[in-house]
Amino acid sequence: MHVLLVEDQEKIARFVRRALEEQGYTVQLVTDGDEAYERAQREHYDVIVLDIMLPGRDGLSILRNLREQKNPVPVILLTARSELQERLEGLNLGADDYITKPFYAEELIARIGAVTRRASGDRLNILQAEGLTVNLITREVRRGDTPIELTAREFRLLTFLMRSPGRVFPRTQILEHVWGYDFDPSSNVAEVHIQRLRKKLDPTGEHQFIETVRGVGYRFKQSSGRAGQ
Amino acid sequence: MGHSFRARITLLSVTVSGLVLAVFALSAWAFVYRIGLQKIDRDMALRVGPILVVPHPQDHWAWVENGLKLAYGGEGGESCVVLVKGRGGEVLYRSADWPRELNPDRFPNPDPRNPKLRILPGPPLPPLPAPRAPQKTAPAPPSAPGPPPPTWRVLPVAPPEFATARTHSGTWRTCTMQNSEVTLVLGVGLTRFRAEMARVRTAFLAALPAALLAIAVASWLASRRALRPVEELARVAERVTASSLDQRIPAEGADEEFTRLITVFNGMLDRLERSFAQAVRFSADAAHELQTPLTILQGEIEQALGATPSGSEQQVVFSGLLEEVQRLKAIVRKLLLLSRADSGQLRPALERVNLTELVQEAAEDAQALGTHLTVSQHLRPEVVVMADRDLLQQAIYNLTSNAVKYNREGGTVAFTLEANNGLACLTIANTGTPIPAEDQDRLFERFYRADRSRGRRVDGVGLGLSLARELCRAHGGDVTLVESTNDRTVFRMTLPMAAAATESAQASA
Repeated sequence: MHVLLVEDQEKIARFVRRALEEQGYTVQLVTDGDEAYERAQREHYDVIVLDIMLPGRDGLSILRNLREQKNPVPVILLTARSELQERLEGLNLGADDYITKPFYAEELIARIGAVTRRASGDRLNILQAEGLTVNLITREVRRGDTPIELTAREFRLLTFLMRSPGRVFPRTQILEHVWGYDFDPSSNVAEVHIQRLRKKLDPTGEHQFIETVRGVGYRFKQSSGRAGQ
Repeated sequence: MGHSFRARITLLSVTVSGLVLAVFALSAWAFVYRIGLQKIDRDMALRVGPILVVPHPQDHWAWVENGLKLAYGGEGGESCVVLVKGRGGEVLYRSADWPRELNPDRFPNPDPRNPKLRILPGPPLPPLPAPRAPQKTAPAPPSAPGPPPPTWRVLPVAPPEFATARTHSGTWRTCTMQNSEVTLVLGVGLTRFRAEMARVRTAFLAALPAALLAIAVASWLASRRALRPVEELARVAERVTASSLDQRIPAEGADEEFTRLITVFNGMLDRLERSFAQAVRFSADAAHELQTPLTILQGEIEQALGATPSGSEQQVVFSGLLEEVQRLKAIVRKLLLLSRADSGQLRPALERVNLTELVQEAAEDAQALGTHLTVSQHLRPEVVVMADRDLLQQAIYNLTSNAVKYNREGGTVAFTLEANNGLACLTIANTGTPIPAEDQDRLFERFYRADRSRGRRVDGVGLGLSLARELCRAHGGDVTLVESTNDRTVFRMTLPMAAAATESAQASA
């Protein structure tokens, strides 16, 4: 996966790049708008992660020009929260998604996965682990052959954890991903939903799909074949 | 509505000028009446005086009356009557149409000793012609009646006296004059004069209301003209909101009494606009500047967390740090939204949002946030509003978390969603200690917490309610506190509903 990361804030660029590289992506980092536009025209990328505020050409005009040239490369915009108007404008200009600062690298990776899947139209919309099958399009969840009914929140919770088995997610991060808005981080709403989800996935309580990491958060159980963190 | 200053001014000027006009009209009328009467009196004296300076034989009086009738009668004239009394009070002559009610006794008898009697000075009188012997020319029978031979004499006359008398046949003005031998009373009818005066009175009465009306209209208009700067001031002040502090009142053309007021008002708006812009810019800048370090902080902690062994001491520390970052993020985000709202730039990206579903989720959250609580919901299905989903969710969540935070152990939270008159109405009622009355007004202020005494037991910085209100207002709705009595606090949120998507619904049906 070849990613063009356009971000002028050096430190932000650094951790994003590190996170993407950990996922096995190759990352081309550009800090200037004009250079970014040239590269985007010249080379082929699987996805462009584009900051809006840039020295030189700004993110929105890069996006507009690319779309005017019928360049279909998936674009994810990085915006500050205040730029509601820009966010809208970006989507109208043909951005595939946007993510607001401050964001989690994990969230960005999930979005990249989603837009590239959509772009390539492949069948990677099925998650499978530990005998659980999750269809991201039809939102069907099965354990073996048994269908499981989940609410919208439980579904988001499950897929978020399941995408990175073995990785620990702090409660804060889970709240932000599943609930979106500014949930009180000390609330126990995540615990309650995890308990419910566990019961639905395994009413007997024999098999723990979701493990608690004391004092930190939760993780989806790592398949026995792979090395744990 | 209070008293209108304009109405009071108008009323005052109408009252004052009405009084002045009435007094003027009354005295003018009395004056005209008196002048008219004096003219009549003088006229009568002028006619009677010459008659009395010489003696008249008994049979002259009918001719005298004829002469007077000739003078007064005719086109547009008055009727007149004559009475003549002798020294003994006997009536020597009386007009045929003399009104009965006028008793001759009421007029004085002639008195030769009356001190007012005067001989008017004049040239010497010509000598009397010598009487011819009647038997020489035409011997007439001595018994035949005839005028006695004229005697050239001048009689002393007293000045006239006037009186007005009312009778069945009308009102009469009488002029009474006497010489040493007779008293002559001339009565002139006042019917025509009085009719004329009545016409004058009617003209006054008709003119008065017209004049008052004109004065009322004029003063109403004039006071409007005078008060225009004040109305302009009020109009501008009404338009002044956080997003339109650039309103000013034009000072040109204003009266000098108002120029100062306008200048002061405009100056106040200047200062307000400046400091408001500063405050908004500051919180926007501050929030914006915080975004970058927060992004870095969060990103680095996230990676460090992933790099530390699962369940290790460090991971717990990092997780705690992440929670603090989350708190900071929430505050920054709220400040940014509020500063956007303050500067009138909170323009929600509107789409059709199923409010019923959002409230269902909120009720679910409320149950999860407060497991000890009983959460109930009475929701009208399929209430659709035009809203920015994220912002609306935030507003509902703020109210929900409030209802849970300030609840009591084992209490209840009740969600009710109704729709009437195109307005979606969500009420959230919770049990718990009521909000003190003195705090209710300030509840929606920034950083305000009604729970100072309860300290840090509950989390939050007091932005939730004011943000919820601003978010709803940006959608054309509002958030209000309905009541907070013992063990029952109710907040209401209203939002305009989306127009029914009838066409698309029919198309898909």
